Parts: sequence; C-alpha cells; structure tokens
Amino acid sequence: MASAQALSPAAKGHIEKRLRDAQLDPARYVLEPLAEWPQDRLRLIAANPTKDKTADAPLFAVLADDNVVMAGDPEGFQKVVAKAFPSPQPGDAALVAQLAVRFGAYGQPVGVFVAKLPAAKASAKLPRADARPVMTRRDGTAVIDHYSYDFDRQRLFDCHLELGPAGAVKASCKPAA
Amino acid sequence: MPNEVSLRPGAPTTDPRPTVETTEPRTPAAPSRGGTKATEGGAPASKTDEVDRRDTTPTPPVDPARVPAGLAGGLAPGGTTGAGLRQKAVSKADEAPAKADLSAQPKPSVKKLTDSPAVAKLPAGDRAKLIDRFATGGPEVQAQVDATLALVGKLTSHTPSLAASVTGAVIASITSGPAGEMKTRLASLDALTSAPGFDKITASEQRDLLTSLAQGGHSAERAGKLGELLKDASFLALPQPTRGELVGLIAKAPTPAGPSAKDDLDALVHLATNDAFAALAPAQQRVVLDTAATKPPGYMQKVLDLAASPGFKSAEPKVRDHLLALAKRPATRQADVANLDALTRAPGFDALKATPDAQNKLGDFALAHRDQAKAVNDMLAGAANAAPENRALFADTLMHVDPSKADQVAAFVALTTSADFKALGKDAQASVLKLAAKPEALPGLTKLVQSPAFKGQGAAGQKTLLAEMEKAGFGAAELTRFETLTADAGFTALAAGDQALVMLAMAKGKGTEKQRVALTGLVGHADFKALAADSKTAVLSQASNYPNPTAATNLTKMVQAAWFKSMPIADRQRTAKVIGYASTKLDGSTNATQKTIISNTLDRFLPPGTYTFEMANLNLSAVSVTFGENPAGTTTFRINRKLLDADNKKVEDGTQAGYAEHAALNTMCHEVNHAVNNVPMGETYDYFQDEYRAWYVGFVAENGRVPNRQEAYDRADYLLSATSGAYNLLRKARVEVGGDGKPSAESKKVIAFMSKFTGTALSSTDLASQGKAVNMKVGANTAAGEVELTNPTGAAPQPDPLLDMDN
Repeated sequence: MASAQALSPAAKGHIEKRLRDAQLDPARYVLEPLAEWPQDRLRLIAANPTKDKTADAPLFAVLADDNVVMAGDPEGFQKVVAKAFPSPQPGDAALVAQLAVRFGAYGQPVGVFVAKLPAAKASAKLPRADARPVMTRRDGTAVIDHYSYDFDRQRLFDCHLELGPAGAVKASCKPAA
Repeated sequence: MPNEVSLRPGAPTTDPRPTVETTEPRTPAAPSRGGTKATEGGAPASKTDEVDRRDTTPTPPVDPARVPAGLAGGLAPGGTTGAGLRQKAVSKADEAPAKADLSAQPKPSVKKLTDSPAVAKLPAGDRAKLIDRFATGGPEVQAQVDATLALVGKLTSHTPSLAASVTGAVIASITSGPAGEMKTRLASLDALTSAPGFDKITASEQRDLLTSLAQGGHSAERAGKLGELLKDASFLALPQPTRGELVGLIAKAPTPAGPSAKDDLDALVHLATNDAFAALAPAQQRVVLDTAATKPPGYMQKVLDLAASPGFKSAEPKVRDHLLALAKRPATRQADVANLDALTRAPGFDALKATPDAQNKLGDFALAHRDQAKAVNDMLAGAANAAPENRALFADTLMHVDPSKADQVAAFVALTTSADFKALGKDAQASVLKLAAKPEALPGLTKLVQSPAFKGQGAAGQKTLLAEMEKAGFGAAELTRFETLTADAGFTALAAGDQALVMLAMAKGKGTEKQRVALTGLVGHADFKALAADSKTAVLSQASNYPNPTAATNLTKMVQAAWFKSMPIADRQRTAKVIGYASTKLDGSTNATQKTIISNTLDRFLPPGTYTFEMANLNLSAVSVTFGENPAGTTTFRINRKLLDADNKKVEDGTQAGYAEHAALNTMCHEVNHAVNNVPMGETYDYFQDEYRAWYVGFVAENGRVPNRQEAYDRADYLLSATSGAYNLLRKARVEVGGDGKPSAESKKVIAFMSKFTGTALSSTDLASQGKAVNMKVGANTAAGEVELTNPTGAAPQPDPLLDMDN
C-alpha cells in the first residue's frame, strides 16, 4: 500500500481495517488527502485505486483521536459536520454541501456536488438558475440549497439541507433535470 | 251530489239513443251515416263505419208516392212506406216482370215481408230495398222469401245487435246480383253471419267479411273459409288495428289469387289464424302485413315459418324486429326468408339470444351469403361452447369466415365444437376467437388448443400465452412455427414450467422463423441440457423476458461459456438478465454504431470470445454507486452484482432499476472498451483519453447516438476535476507543472484537447482553480473571464487517439 504522509499509524490502521471490512484490498489503493479540500478544517483522506479504472474511492474523515469516519457510515455526515462546521457560515455553504454529498447525508447516491451547472443542463428549467449553493438561517437553523450531478446517468438533483442548532440534520434531494 | 249520474238498477249504463224516425221525404238512395255505399255487386265498398253496433243512423225516408198501392201503410212499424221501389241493381231478367207487377196486387212474398216483425225492425231503407227486390223479382227471387225471412230474423235478433251498416250490407247482398244466384248468396250470408265469431268482431270487420264474401261471388268455398276464420281463437284474439287491417286485406282478396300475398285469400286466412302471427307484437304484425302487401303468394308462409321458429320466438324483440325487417326488404327473396328461418332454427342461434346484436348481424350475414345458408348454420354449432361472455365474439369471428370456402367452414366448426375449445377459460377462449378472425389460422388454433404442451399450462398459463399471441397478431404461419417448436425434442424434454417460458418467448417474439430457430437452438444445445433445473429456468426466463432471436442466440452462447458455468445460480440469474437486456437493445437498435458496439462487446465474452464476465461486490451505498470495473491489464469486466437482483425478472424490474440498466449496457461496453484498448492508468493524457473514449463508447451504446459537445465537455471536465478515485490521476495530469514552472507536456495535451470545446487555444488563465477544469461559461452562473462553449449541440470531439471505438 502506498504511504499517506502525515497520517498517523493509528489512523492509517483504522482506514485499512475499514477497507478490509468493505472487502476491499488495501494493496490496490493509495491513501491521499482529498484534493482541493481545506484539510485544516477537516482531514479527509481518499483511498484512490491504483489498479482499477473506477471513479469510486472510499473517503475517510480523520478525527482528532485518529479514529475515522468512513463516507456512508450511519450518522457519518452529522459527525463530520459537527466537527468541521459547528456553526456554518454562508461562505461555508459549498464545503458543507460537498460533505453532505460525500458522506451520504441524503441517503442515496446523488452524484457529486456542483457549484456550476453542467453544460448539458444549462438550459433546463430549474428551481434556481444560479447553481452556486445558497445558505440562509431560520431560527438558528442553517439551510443550504444546492445542486448535485450524477455524471454517469446525467441527472441533476436539487438538494435541501437543514442543520439544526443541536446537531439535527434534515436532508433531501429530488431530481431536477 | 248534483254532478252524479244516477244509475238505477236495471237501467242501461249507456243511453241508447232512440231511433229517430221521420216521415220527411228524403232522397231514397241516401246512404246511412256509416257511409256504406252499395257497389254494383251489392257489397259495401268502404269500411268507414264506426264499431258501435247500436247504429242509430236515421233511417232514410221513402217517398210515399213511389210505394205500390198494395204496400201503402203496410210497412209499419218502421214508419216509412215502400221505399226504393226503383230497383237499381236488379238484373235485366227481372226487369220486365217488375214493371208488370207495379200495378198488380202485392206478391205473397211481399206480404210475408211486410208482415214480418223481423223485417219491420230493419232500417227503413233496407226494408224498402228488400221489399222492392221481392216486389219486382221473378220466381227465382220469390222462391227465396222464406230463406230471406229466416236470415233477416237472425240479423234482427242478433246479439249483440248488428250495426245498421252491417245489416245494410247484408240486405244489399241479398238484393243485388242475379236472381239465379240469390239462393247461394243467402246461404253464404247465413253461414257467415251465423258463425260464432261474427259477433266478436267489429262492425267494420263484419262489413269487410261481407265484402269478401261478395268478392268471391258468395261461393260456398269462400263462405266456408271465412267461417273457419271466425271460429279461430288466434284470429279473434288478434289486436287492433292488426285484425282490422288483415280483414280489410281479406275483403279485397280476389279469387283466384292475384300476384301478391294480399291477393291470396288462402294465405291471408292462414295468416289470420296463425299462432305465430298472433304471438307477434303489433308492430311486428304490421311488418308481416306490409310483407303481405308487397310480396308474392307463398312468401308470407315463409315469414310465418320464421316467426314460428323456436329461435325466433326466444329472441329479443329487437332481433325479431330485425329479422322481419330483413324479410320485408324489397330485395329479399322467398328463399332468403327460408334461410333466415333455418338460421333461427340452427342449434347455436338460440345460444346467442343474450347477444341480440350478434343475432342481428348473423341475420345480415345469412342474407349476404344466401347461397351458403347451410354453411352459415353449420358454423353456429359451436356457439354454445363459447362462454356466455364470448358469444358475441363468437358471432363476430364466425362472420370472418368465408362460408363459400368449405375448408374454412370445416376448420371453424372443428375448432369451436371441440371439447378443448369448450374447456378454455373465458379469457383464453376470447383470445382464440380473436385469433380465429384470421380464418387461415383456424387449423393451427385447433392444433394448439389440443396440444399437450398447451393443455399442460393450466388456465392461467393458457390465458397469458394466448394473450401474447393475440398481441403479436399470430396467424397461420406463426402457429405453424409454434407447432414446430413445441414438437422439437429439446422442447418436449423440458419441464412444464420451462415449456411455458419457451412458448411465451415464441409468442412474445411474434412467432418469427428467426425466433423459432433461436429458441430451438437454445433448448436443444448440449450445454443448456446439461444445466441444472434452476439454471435452465433462469436462462429461459430471460429468453421470455427478452423475446427476440438475438437474446435467445446470445443466451445459447452464454451457456457455453466457462465463466458462466463456474457461476453460482444467483450470478447465473444476474448474468442471464444482463445478456437478455443488452441483446434486446442490440436487436431493437436502429443506429449502426450502437449495434456495432453492443454486438462486438457481447462477442468479446460470449464464446468464441475469450473475455471474462464476472459479478463483483462493488460499492452501492448512500454515497455512491460503482457500476462496474475492468481490473487494469486484464480482459475481465465486472458488474456490481448489488445492482442486479438474483431472480428471474427483467433487469428493469429490479430493486435497483435505473442503475441496473446503466450497468447492463453502458458499463458493460465502457469496461470492455478499457480492456480492448488496454491503456495503462496514470497521470497521463492517454489515460484521460482512455476514460473519455470508454465513456464515449458507453454513451453511444446506451443512447444510440454520439454525445454532443455539451455532454462531452461535461464529462471531460468531470474527469479532469475529480479529486478522488482513479480519475484523480487525470486531474493531476491537467494541473501538472514541469521543471520550468509551466504546464507539463501531459498537461499541455490535456489543455489542447479541452480547447476543442472552445474553438480557440485555452491559456492558463482559462483554467479553473478548483471544482472545474475550465472556466467555461455555463448558464446564468457566469463570471468574468469565462470562455464560450462553441457549437454546444454539435457532435462531440472524438477521442485522441481514436484507437478502438467499437470494441
């Protein structure tokens, strides 16, 4: 297995165990910090395949105690968002939305977070013409509306996320185009 | 109670108006109120009298000046004196004596008459006419005085009383005509008026019968015939106006019979006394009477035969109306009516009584095929075998058969009278009947319903199979192929459930020769025969789910593959549905490139192809889906088994519908393209193109068209901006910087390719820093410095290098 710099042996061990638990061979992956992600807010490690041509890559959030949360874990999104964005601000909307998609907050695969409409959907009739995520606050709850896109099946989703003051999360996506 | 009418016991309930007697001179020949007018022969010419038998028409007065002296005052109590002595209808033979008698003493006959209380009861005009006839008549007339008195006695004592117009008609008959025939007339008049039913008919009918008697010269034969009529209960029970109109026709019927039934007394009397006629509704009787007026003698008997048939009698009124209307049509011949009669007597006609419209159509059909009446009737034999719900359909189907073609008729009879047809469920039977609307299919259908394989399917299976055959429009050729398939040894060796699947595959596959050959090849193949029962069912289920020869042929190849043989049953089920699904897309494709890609892809792993098809536990979570993969450097492609249920349903009917179809076609072609081109993974432009190419090929396979520039740009940008997974390598290739701090050679190639979407060479300022590869202007989300995607709906740039694009 390729090395992942700055990963503690404990964190690395946790990740490898989770890969094996998922019937994946750690030897076929390299652990790398998720690119284009502010690691200082939350350490996200991607297990990128080295031998298989697949877009799929298990993703892990490394917590302060070197324990990890694997994308798709139950309540995984709640745990990581509480750690990284305990009080999200409007400028955090894209990062929070990305976390929600990557950690399975919506309960179903909805592709990848997009802040810009795919060209093929640019002329579609959509709830919001501007694809940039929008965050508002209502009674202490942060509400984020954003799009995600399944590039394999060319389906756009309109997603709605509510982060309550006590860590409560409400999340839903529906096909948009 | 000032408005009440007091009815004293014994008082008449109606007020019999007193006979108005007058001595005022009147015109001797003035007609009675009834308007009966003596014709030359003495018979009434019209029948406009009212029915009231208490005819109170004022008696026409007689001019006293014209009464013979001997008669003056001798006509009391009628009040009139010798009237009408100017005999108008006396024969020439009687004329001379009549004149001679004018100055003579009254003849004894006259005295008898004037003395007769019965004669005295006659209306004055009739009385005068009678006396005048005897006063002027010769010996032959005189000889009939007693008979006359007897008749008059009966007339005047008739109960109920006869209408004056009727009496007048009788008197006119007595007094008219040759003297030599007077005896005959008296006898016939006596017979008629004495008949038991005479007092049960209306005055108008009585007059008409008297007219008829005169029409026939008062012959004994006619009198007898009319007497029979008056004895007949059916006749007497006929409703009005039917009976009145019928008697009117009888009155006019000549002797001998004329050119139409209305001129045939025998036919009319027969009609009047016919039970079948009596049983008809008045409107239907009206139609028969119309027929009598327009059709030749003998025709009406056929109509009555029709009306008497059990099938006619049990039919709905609308059917009876229709059949009679058919009989009435000008173009309908007597033989046609006989055919209709035979039709209604055919055993199956009555079975259709709950479907009157069908019976009506059959009537039309029988007339349209008048020369094949027997064939039409024969075909009704199986009507009772049809379920009640199918009987209208039975009739419709029957009418698709050409009765002039004996083979079709025989085949229809053979099918519909068979026990196997009768045993079918109503839905299955309905399908058979619909299929039988193609008469050439009849022999095949008969064989089908009798075949052990079909009978072994049970009611539900039969219903499903026949419904599919119906949907596919099976005809003779398809049924013949079906029979050939089910007679094949490979088929007969199958379990009943598997036979059902093969038969369904054939039916849903429209029974083509290609489908027959493909299915025969499948069930007869040694590797198929060697499969366990559950695997056979898995394979045949998909042949049925995807009923086309391409699927059956590829399933036959699949069972020969080593990789298939090594699979557990669950993966065999999954794999069979993938092969069926992809083959069906291939079979139905109209795009040459799509066909080539799918066909070549399947050929890669179906024998003699050497690639390996595997099912693997790949990711399916709330986060993402991995459809499939191609382990680098191998010719193996894997599909995520979590996307395909281990059952015998269709791909698109599974719990992961939407993903499963994508995996079974797009992913399969995508991954095989990777294996065919075998480009190594890495932070390289070539790997970028390898992914772009595989996507392009999968896209065409799934959508049947090449992607447009928008779609291709989205995909390329996605590949180049992925931050995890194998595509992370491509992002690295895009952003890679060489030792000079400028984009690396690989990066430059990536940027050059992306420039194809903008039409101009992109610079480093056009590249996005995060989330996207290119600062492309898209929709409303625009910003300064964005570049334009040119010709967005044009064909996407092809991969560079092209390499293998069709697997």
